[in-house]
Amino acid sequence: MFKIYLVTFLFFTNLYSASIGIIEQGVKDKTEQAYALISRHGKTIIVYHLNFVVKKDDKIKTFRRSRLTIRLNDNTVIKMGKKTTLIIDKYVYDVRSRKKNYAANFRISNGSFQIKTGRIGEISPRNFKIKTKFSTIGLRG
Amino acid sequence: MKILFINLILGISLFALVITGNQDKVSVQGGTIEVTSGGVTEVVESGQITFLQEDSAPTRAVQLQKSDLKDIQDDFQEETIGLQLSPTLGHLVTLKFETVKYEIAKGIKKVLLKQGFSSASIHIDKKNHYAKLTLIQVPLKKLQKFYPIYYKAAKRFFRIKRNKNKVAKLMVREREMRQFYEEVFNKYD
Repeated sequence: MFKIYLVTFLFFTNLYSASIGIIEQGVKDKTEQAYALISRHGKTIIVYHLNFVVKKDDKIKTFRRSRLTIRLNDNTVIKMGKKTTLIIDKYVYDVRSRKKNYAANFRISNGSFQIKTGRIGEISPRNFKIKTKFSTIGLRG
Repeated sequence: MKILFINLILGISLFALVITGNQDKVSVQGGTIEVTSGGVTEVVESGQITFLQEDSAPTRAVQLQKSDLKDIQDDFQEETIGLQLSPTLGHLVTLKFETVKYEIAKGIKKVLLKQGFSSASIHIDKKNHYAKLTLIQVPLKKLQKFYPIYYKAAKRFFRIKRNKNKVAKLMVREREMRQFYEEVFNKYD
């Protein structure tokens, strides 16, 4: 019985840790009737509803007329404009961990963005990086 | 008390930094950032903007003008209007088609696009010369027109209370596919 409890507990802990944020707001593309496309582990998921869970390594693509606002666990807010592609390369934020080696690396290969930094930007500004097509943006600690 | 309150607000806003940009320009509010391009790093202070080009250094950071970020701001401002206008989709259905020849799957995709299904909702999983076609999360109303049999099945699925917020997943067998897409099968089979 204890084993079952342990396995269930670990399963849910793992599920919780996999989520790094949610899609909080957005505008749907009228043609596609969806907010965005997410490529996750080789699968393509269409985002039809808000509060969709975002995970590390997700590739999020907005459509021609859709926009998104993502809130990550550390309160970093990412606004994505139309036809924007965001890849979450690295996201380390665990409040329970004693080591404060937080990090966030994003890649925006297309479109426009507005990023409001959260706890990671505050505690580990050197580990907060944004890559665009031609540049790398870092915070000054 | 007032001083404490003001200090608290200042303390919070000091840490929050807003970076706005696209592939050609980057600006910042509430802090300092470093923008590196073409091996050169430019320091951009709060209220400044730098412009970027492929394989060249960022321009010297200059004071941000109102018109500089107009295109980006316009993009985000439409958000609230769009939220009010966005339609509700209701129940969603995923149709999984049985494995067929890749050419046939491609042919069916063409027909589906003509029928008005969005390209994002059609997924083809190719394995060698065969492929599995999936029509992902289609609104139930759309199903009524093109797949009446599956519409009825999906309706039965959503009639059950515990299924109301779920996505119905239905399998389309080859026999039925032949009925729906006779021309495609005749052409490629």
